[in-house]
Amino acid sequence: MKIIQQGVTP
Amino acid sequence: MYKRSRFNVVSETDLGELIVYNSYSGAIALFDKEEAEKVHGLLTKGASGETHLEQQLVQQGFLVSSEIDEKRRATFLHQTMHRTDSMHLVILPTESCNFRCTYCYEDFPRGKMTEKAKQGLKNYVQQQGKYLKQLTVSWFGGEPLLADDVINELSETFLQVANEQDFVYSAEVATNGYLLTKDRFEQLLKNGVQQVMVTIDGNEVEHNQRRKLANGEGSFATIFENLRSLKEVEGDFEITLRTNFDEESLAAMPDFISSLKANFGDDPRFKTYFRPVARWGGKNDECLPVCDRNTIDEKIWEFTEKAIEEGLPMSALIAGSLQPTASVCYAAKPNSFIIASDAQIFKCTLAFDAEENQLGTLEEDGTLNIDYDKVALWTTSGEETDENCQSCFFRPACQGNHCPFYRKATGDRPCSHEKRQIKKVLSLIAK
Repeated sequence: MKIIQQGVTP
Repeated sequence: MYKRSRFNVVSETDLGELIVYNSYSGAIALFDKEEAEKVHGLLTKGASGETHLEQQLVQQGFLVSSEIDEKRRATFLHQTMHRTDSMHLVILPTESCNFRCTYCYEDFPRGKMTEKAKQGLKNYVQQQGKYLKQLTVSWFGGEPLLADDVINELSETFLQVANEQDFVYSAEVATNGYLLTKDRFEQLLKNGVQQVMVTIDGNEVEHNQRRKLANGEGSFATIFENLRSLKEVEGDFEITLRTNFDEESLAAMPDFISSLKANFGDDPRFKTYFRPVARWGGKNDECLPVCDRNTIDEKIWEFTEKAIEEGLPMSALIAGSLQPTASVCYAAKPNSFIIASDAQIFKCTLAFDAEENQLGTLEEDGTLNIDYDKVALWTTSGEETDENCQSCFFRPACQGNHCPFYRKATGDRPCSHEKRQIKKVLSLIAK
C-alpha cells in the first residue's frame, strides 16, 4: 500500500 | 467486525492498480496489482481487522467499525463548521479593474477601499485575534493589485496581530497578472501570500480575444513576461495558472499546453487549473460560446492530463478539494465573510446585487453589523435540504454546499467538477 494522502479524523 | 465506509471511492488504474479514496478521512491510497484483488474483496465484504493489511485499511478510514453510523459522523462534521477559532475573510482592496473580460460578471461600482473600511478591518482582526487559531485572507476584486498599497497596509496589521496572538496566518491572491511584477510578487510573499491565481486563457490570440484591457488592447504579452520573471524568485509558493476555456478555444488548447511546458515546465511551482467559461451573470452572458456539460466533464481532465504528461503539475487545489469540508464554499461557512471596499459585507462573490447577499456593514470600530437571518440562508441550504446529498460518497467534502448560489439560482445540485469525475481525478492524482 502506498499512501498518497494520509487519512485522519477531520 | 469492520464494514466498508460509505464514503469510499474505489478505482482501477490502467496498470491494474487499485486507488482508494475516502472523503471523511481524506485518505488516498494506491495498491499494486498483487494487493488489488485482496483489497477489493475486503472493501466489498468487510473484515475482522485481524491482519496487518486490514488494520491499515481501518487506519485510513476505508474500513469502519460495523457499529458506526457514518451519516451521523457527517452530520457532526457539518456542525463543526461553526467553530469560531478559524476565520476566512475575502477582502476586496479595490473593486476597479484594468481589464474588461468578455465573461466577467462584475460591474465595478465601487473603487478603492475607504479609510473607514481599512480601519474597520484592522480593528476587527485585532479584536478577534485572541480567539483565533487560524486566519485566512483571500485578496480578491476587481483587480487587487491596483490597490497593492491597501494589501500592504492591511497585511502589516494582520501579520503583527498573528504574531502577537499566536495564530496561523495565510493568504492568497486572485489577479489578472498584468501588474504582477517580480517586485510586487516578492512583496506579496512578505505579506504572507502563499498562492497566486493568474488567469491565462490560451495563447496570445485566444487570450487577447477574451481578456482585454479596459482600453481594448491585448494583455497576453505583459502577463506572460511577468509570469516568466517569477521563476527567478526563491521560495515555496504556488502560481496557479488558471485557464478558462469555451467552445471556441478548445482546439487551441494542446498548443497552449505545449507553450506552457516550454516556459514553465522546469518550475513545479507553476501549476495548471482548467475551468469552463460559464454564464456567471455578466452582460455578455447570452453571447458566450459555453461548452455543454459532457464536454466540460471531459475537457477539464483531458487538458489537465495532457499538462501532466508534458511535465506541468495540476494545482494543489484539486487534491485539496477532496479533503473533508474542503469543497464547502466560503459562502456556506458561518465564519467567513467578504469585506467590500466600502465596508459592505457579502457572502457570495457572484451575486453582489442580490439583496440576500447584502449582509450588513463593517463599522470603523471593528463591529460587524450583520443580518444573521441572511447568513442562515447561505449556511443552511446544503445537504440538510437534499436527501441525495445525504447519501452521497462526497458528502463530508462538500456538505451539499459547493455552490449555494447555484443551488438557489437553478434548483439543481451544485456538484463540484472533481466529484463529477472522481475516478478520473484520482487517476491523475496517482500519476
